[in-house]
Amino acid sequence: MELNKWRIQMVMKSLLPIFLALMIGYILIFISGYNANEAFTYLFMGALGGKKQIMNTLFAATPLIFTGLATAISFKAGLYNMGAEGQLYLGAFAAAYLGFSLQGLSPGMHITICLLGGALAGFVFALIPAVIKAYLQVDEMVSTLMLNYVAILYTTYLASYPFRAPGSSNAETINILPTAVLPRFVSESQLHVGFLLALVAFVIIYIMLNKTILGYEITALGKNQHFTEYVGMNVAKKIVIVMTISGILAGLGGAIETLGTHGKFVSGFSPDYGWTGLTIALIGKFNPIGVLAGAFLFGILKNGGSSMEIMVGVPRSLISIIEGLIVLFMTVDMLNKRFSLGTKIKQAIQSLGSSKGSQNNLKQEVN
Amino acid sequence: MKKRVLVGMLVGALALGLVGCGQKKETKETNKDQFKVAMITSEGGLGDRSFNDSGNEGLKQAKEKLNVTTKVVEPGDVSEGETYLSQLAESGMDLVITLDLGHSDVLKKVAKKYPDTQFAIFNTAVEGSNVSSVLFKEQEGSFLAGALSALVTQDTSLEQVNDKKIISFIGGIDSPGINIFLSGFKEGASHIDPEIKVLSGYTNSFADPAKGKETALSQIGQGSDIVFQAAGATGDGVIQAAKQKNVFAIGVDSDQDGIAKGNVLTSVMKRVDNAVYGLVEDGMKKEYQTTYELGLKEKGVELSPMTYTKDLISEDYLKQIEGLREQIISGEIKVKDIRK
Repeated sequence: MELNKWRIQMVMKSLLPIFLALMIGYILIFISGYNANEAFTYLFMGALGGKKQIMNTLFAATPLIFTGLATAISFKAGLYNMGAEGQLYLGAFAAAYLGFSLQGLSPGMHITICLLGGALAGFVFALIPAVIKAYLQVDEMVSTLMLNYVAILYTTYLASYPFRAPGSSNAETINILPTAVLPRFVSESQLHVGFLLALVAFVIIYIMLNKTILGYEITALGKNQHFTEYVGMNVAKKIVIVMTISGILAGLGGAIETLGTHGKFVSGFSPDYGWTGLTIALIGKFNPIGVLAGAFLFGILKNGGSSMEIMVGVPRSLISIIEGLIVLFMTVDMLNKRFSLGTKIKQAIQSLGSSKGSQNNLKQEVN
Repeated sequence: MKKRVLVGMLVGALALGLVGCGQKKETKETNKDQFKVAMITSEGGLGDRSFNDSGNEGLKQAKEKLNVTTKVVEPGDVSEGETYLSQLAESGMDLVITLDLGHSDVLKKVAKKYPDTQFAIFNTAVEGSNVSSVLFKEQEGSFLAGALSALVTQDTSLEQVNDKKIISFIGGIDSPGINIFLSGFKEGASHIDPEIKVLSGYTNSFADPAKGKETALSQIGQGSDIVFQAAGATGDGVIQAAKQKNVFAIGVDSDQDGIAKGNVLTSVMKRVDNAVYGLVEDGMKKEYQTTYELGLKEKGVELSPMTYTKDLISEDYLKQIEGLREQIISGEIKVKDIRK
């Protein structure tokens, strides 16, 4: 019973900021001189109004599920892996390289190899900050943050010089072979099989966190690292495991973007998927279900935001404002006892009621 | 009391929003017969003082003079290209222009699906019966800039100029689309004096002014006194370096002469605005061409009016450049296109 109440509170804690942010977004759109009702209609209809729209929303959510899970699992263990963006880029490039250079493989085999390559790239790149954190106590927040630059600039170099598609003015590689392409479900929507892989990743991480010893250890590590050390857990080893799982997830996310969305590596392809994943992990309170929900929410905002811009002309930056507001409100613990909005509203209604009563009394007295 | 005010304000704001919007609907009217144009910006979006802004300018003019409905949209990333192109086509646009050459692959697919909509893409050629490709002859504008630089770098009476016959070029990425500026620049310089040395370097980014400045300073250190940049926002740094060392820079895409008055010799302008306007004009007559190659003749490329520098340099140089311009337009001088 107590647990249920706590769960409801957790859900409320996540929903309230979203609602408030949308409300302010509505007012901002209105103030900016657009038809806010129409804009919001397109925001939701463009994201959820039909089969194709829903599929495109899931498409937008796919990379975010990976980066969200990657960040959530490390944060849950108290490890601040800020390197999802960089790991994503390396995973994407590795998958593209294998995708265009390996010839004569069957589609299933080729895709599997490319995905493994992407995962391996993420793994190796996360191993560096993991090892120096575990054995030399180097702050992983700083190292992962800095390594992002290395990964992004290095892949840009690779796509600009050694592997640039001949004749292209963009920094991008040649197309991957057809055998490596993750197929779409229907040609009208960009949604591809990568989404199913994201769901598989979600299920695996969910089970791992909730049903395995490793999951328990991760939670314990996140609660108190020193305690877990004293009770005899090999903390250094666990740090490496958690960080590399995080890297694998981000790398896979990049690989799937390459194989399903772009069909090649494009320098600068990610509109901050890694950082949006971090936001989503925060919204989801590092819980896989929360991450899934957060990824869908951001998918809705992204996909609906484009319809809103195309149909009503509301600039995309307003969607960024709404996203920013969600994060801002998230950081305010609104259901905290002292600042609880719920109790405040309750009190307000009560005082409204009682003041009405007193007003009535007053009237009677006057009469 | 305070709480009541808070609740009241929240409810009030919401109600106001709902009521206000209900009223607004009536004012909106769309004429069905009006020609509808949409433009998708490239990376960087509006406010880049360059490519996208110039396109938007052309669209504004078309709206004013040709009475068409226009729409400018700015996708968040390149993967959204497909959604944007198809949604715009579905929403009944007559002409959909994309300035992002990263859309070339998806445009091929999308254009087939919407045969009633005309599409246009800039700076790259895409095949399709309902696709127009707009290409600029950047080499022609760069030729004039090169010729002018060759004249100016030998005029040591100018305080910006040293005694070395060295000029230089900075590009964003080592690619055909950028090297076309370099080849035209070189050709123009050697047309005036074959002994002129042209240094070149790449910043590997279109959005890194610090790198642009660093590269420019190194070239200036090697004796260059005129630095031509074709590197997007990176070029801002090049112009800053020229200002700091009091030498000349040459701007690109739009009229950048005003960024450092007196230190930007001229700008090789790509008239995206003219191109967009021309497309709309052709669209209203339903006379699209599959490829538009816009050079000096078509006013697709030209040198800036040199507002801050034309009084600094000798009038004779300007006359020579004008002569070369006429020779290119008449076909007497053919500037090589390395892309072909």
